Amino acid sequence: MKKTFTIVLTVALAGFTSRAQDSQMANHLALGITLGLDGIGLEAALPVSPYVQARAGYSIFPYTYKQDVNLGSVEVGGQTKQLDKVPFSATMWKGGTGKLLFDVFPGKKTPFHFTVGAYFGAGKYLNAQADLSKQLDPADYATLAISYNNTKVSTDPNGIVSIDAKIGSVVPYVGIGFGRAIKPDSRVRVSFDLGALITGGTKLQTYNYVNLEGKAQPVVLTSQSLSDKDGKQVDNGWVDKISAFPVLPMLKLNVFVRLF
Amino acid sequence: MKKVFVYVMGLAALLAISCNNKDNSTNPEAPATQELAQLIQFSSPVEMGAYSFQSIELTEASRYIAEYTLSKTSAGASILYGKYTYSNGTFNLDGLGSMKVDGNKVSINPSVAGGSTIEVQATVTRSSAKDQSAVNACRNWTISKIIIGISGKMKDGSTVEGDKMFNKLDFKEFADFAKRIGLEISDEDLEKISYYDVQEICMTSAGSLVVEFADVDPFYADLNLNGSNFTFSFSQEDIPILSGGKISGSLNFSGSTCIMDAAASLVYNEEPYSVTLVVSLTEVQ
Repeated sequence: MKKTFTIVLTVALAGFTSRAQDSQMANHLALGITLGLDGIGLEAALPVSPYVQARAGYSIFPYTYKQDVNLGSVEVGGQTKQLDKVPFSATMWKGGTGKLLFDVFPGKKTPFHFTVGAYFGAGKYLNAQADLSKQLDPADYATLAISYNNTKVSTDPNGIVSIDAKIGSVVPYVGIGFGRAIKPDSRVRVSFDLGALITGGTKLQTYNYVNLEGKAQPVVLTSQSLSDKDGKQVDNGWVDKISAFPVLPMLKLNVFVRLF
Repeated sequence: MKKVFVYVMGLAALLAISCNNKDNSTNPEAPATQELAQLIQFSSPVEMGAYSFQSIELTEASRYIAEYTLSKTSAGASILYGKYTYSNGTFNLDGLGSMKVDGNKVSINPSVAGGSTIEVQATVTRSSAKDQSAVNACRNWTISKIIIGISGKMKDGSTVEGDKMFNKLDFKEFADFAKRIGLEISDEDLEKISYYDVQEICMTSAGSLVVEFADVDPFYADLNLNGSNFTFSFSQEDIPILSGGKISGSLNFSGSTCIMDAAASLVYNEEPYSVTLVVSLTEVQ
């Protein structure tokens, strides 16, 4: 993480240094829309030097998967609850994602580039919610925690259980791309990014509200915590495998319009 | 420039040190009658109506604890618990009367109609907390939130496990919760415990713990305070559905709030189970 920031800083400084040699710094500005694995977004781009272009933007993932699901039965407060037709929803990049990227071009005219930078936001690239408000007694919302393998989980004050795939709130990005966001002789430019967010791993976490502050305390899920009575991991170890995977792929198509 | 840099770095270092030393815990103000706290043990029982009093403890926080037996029964000792005020050398004990203490001489004017002044010799021991934790603890508290965790394995192999948060400690609610998660509590016992709704908890440096309930006599236990740690025991007579046990834990203070972390091993119908308590206590005058 630290190293990546050093690289970003070095690239940025390199851009500023080259300002003395070239007066192209921030002499153009382009606005663009983006479509990719981080959703749809807006980006602003400006040249830093003939070799470096900077991009900053924000994206949201507007689609939410919704489905009523049958989750079988669960012991809640000593009673077996049938969790049928539970409203379930899942969305990505909850709260949106900001980004600051630097495209580094090997040549003054080449469209191919390396990209370094960072994504920042709530750090929840996947949020799933199960609405148990109809299955539970309202008096148990956020006040009753059930235990499973020493993992204690509760609903929030509205009777909803959330699971987040959590990464850092600031995550370095490295990648390659094709196309310049800004080219002085073109009004519209198309560019393409392929890269990875260096997450260092993912925490799959749910929450326990049964504490004196009544605040959501994260409870990290592991394959061990999802073992059944015989010790067999019900997820076949996938939670641990996904949690340990250190990168998230990123694919993005950008269309920029040069304003000046 | 170099000097400015050194000053800035020095200031940053000082700020860092002051931040590191920041302590979030604060001590509450001294309770109202801290200086008056004392244990008065009568050399012979003081008879007042049907009551035969052995001792009266004046707590640090305007409460009295009077230990008595009922004269014509073989029942064990119980307590009267109430508020007291102090004015011009006289203690006024709500519901009991007024009392003056002069060295080892104690004179009591009972509030019951027709009661005459009783003079008695007593051993009077001033109460004093041995450390700041005890000073903080020895006052009156109400429960503003409590989280009760229960876990255990029953004889039939089933497990009981779960945490529940309540805004007060009503033993009926606790028993209902315990029953919901698998403890086989009879309706008769649920009825017995339905009056045990905790109103106030009082701790004293003389080693008393009183739990006042809404509709039944208060519970009394010997309290052992050691730094921020405490223990006390209780028997089945104290709380009907519990066969007795020992509760131990720690107390942490912030202003007029105390966070109690405690654990106990309990038995119901020969089924052992353990209970954890996280309690937010608020001081009451």
